[in-house]
Amino acid sequence: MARLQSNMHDLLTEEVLKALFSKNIYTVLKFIQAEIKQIGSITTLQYKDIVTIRKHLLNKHSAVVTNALDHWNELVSKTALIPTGIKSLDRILQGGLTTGNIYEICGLPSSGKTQLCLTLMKNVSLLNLNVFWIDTKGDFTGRKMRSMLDANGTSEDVMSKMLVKQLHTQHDLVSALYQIKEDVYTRKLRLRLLIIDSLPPLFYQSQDFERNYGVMNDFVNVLHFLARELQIAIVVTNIITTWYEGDFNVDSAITEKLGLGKYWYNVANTRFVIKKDRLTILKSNRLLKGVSCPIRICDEGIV
Amino acid sequence: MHQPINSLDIPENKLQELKSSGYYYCKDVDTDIPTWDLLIKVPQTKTALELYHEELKIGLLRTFIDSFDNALGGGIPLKKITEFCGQSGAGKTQLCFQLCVTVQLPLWCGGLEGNAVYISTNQGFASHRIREIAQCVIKHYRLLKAKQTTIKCEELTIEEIMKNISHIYVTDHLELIAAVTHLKEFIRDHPSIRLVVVDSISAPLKLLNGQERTTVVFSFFKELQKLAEEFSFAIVITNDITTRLGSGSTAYQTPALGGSYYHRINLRVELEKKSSNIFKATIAKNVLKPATEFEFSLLS
Repeated sequence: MARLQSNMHDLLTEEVLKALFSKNIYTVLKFIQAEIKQIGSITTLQYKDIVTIRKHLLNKHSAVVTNALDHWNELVSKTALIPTGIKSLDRILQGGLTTGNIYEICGLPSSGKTQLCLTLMKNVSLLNLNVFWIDTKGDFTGRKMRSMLDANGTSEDVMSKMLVKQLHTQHDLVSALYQIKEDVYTRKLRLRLLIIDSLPPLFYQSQDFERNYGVMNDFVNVLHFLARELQIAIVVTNIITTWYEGDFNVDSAITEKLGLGKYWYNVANTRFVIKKDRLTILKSNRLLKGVSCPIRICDEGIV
Repeated sequence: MHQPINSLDIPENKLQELKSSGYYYCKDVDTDIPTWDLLIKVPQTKTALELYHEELKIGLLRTFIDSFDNALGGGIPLKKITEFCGQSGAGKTQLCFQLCVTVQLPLWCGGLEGNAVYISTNQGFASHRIREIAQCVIKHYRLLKAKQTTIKCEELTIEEIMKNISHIYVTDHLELIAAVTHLKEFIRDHPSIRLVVVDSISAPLKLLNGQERTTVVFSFFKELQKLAEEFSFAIVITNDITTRLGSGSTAYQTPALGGSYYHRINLRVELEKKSSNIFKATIAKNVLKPATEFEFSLLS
């Protein structure tokens, strides 16, 4: 729904635009939907010109058709496999994180989600790649990263490859992702991993569910773009909460619930759960479901 | 791929207004909206190295109980939310009082030369107790000072210490949120605030039901932590213990307010009283260090 602009076509002069705007034709979509006759009567454009502009705009703004073979070839040539550096995890991931995917790590509070993310950031940065971390509750600490790297015996310049944004609202999150998208082009970042720790604090601040869903939708759109078009592996953390139902007389039923609702549930391609020092694949479009591996948290992070 | 205006923090009616004039993407907006620059402002990117140096520069809030500081990795981190939880009498409030005093110690002996704000929700602000603690800290400070020869150090007085602790009393969750709004103004005139205590967080939230409580908790912490990041202060909150029924109706004790709240805080210390001045602390959640247990005594 882009707004009509004079730089879109030579024939769309300021004068023509002014005439169109005065009749509430503001966007490309409106222009294409309007009758040619109507546009002809509003503006000084000839029938032939209007058809040319329409064609041009349609070409520019519509989706591109590719065939499955090209799509496959592109996928194979662009996708990268990023080893996580955690041996047991790489084994169940069949090599590592694949770019273009959205991974979700969930677990009860204090189960090691942030620790796992810190380890991923450390190990991927050591491959001479940039890693972006979006911190929504102040859990990222330079001191921790430094001590993890010290245990590895590496120097400080790895830490300057790690980029961190601390933010607190869902609106800032969407703006930040759009900026990261621009940064990848302009600052030539070698970005293959983006970590968001964690998502629920941003969406639990308001009870205006309609708006929450709207912003989440914008967030998911740009997240897919980053994953697919820029070939970045995305890792997001989410919480599991325990719910007790029933009253004192009945045996209470304990259920565990994943945060952020049904819409988000379908966004992640691969979902892991951390529980009692084991990491299990709950859902995946490529990997085996139910496969798990042990993890151990120590000074260097997770091994 | 352009950013839609829906994703910005604009009220619904303004959004409709913009859309009806054909503005759907941020890049298209060319009309005069006075706060536009603020709306599209993106949080700054910092490298981990920059953050590390910042953390070293702002320092840590020391409790001046060696075992405590060591277990935390040097002290309570600024800009983060630290929770003390335990039964009544477990030393939560006492520890908060002590921090309100030690935060004021000069830099040379490990303090932050800062002021404290104490938000109490359960009328637990006992000024006579703070007086006692201040007296005790001054005693220790004089011992340190006697050994110190190179730096000219100032004298601390009980009156001065007590003046530097601001007290806000709130009765419910609305007043709690109002207190943060007030703090935003207050801190501009008092930028040396290095500690904000909320004792206790659970009292005003107990009145709320599930969904509303989550919303209040997350928006309250968002505002407070945003402020903490700007002005570099530590957030210390206290929480109660509640009883829950587990499988097979076996009762067990757990900190109040549930899982999503626990997710939101950065550091949790569980406290327990052993004998008159011996307390047991368990660090249950800390990004820096694995869970540890230790015993300590308060300053006396």
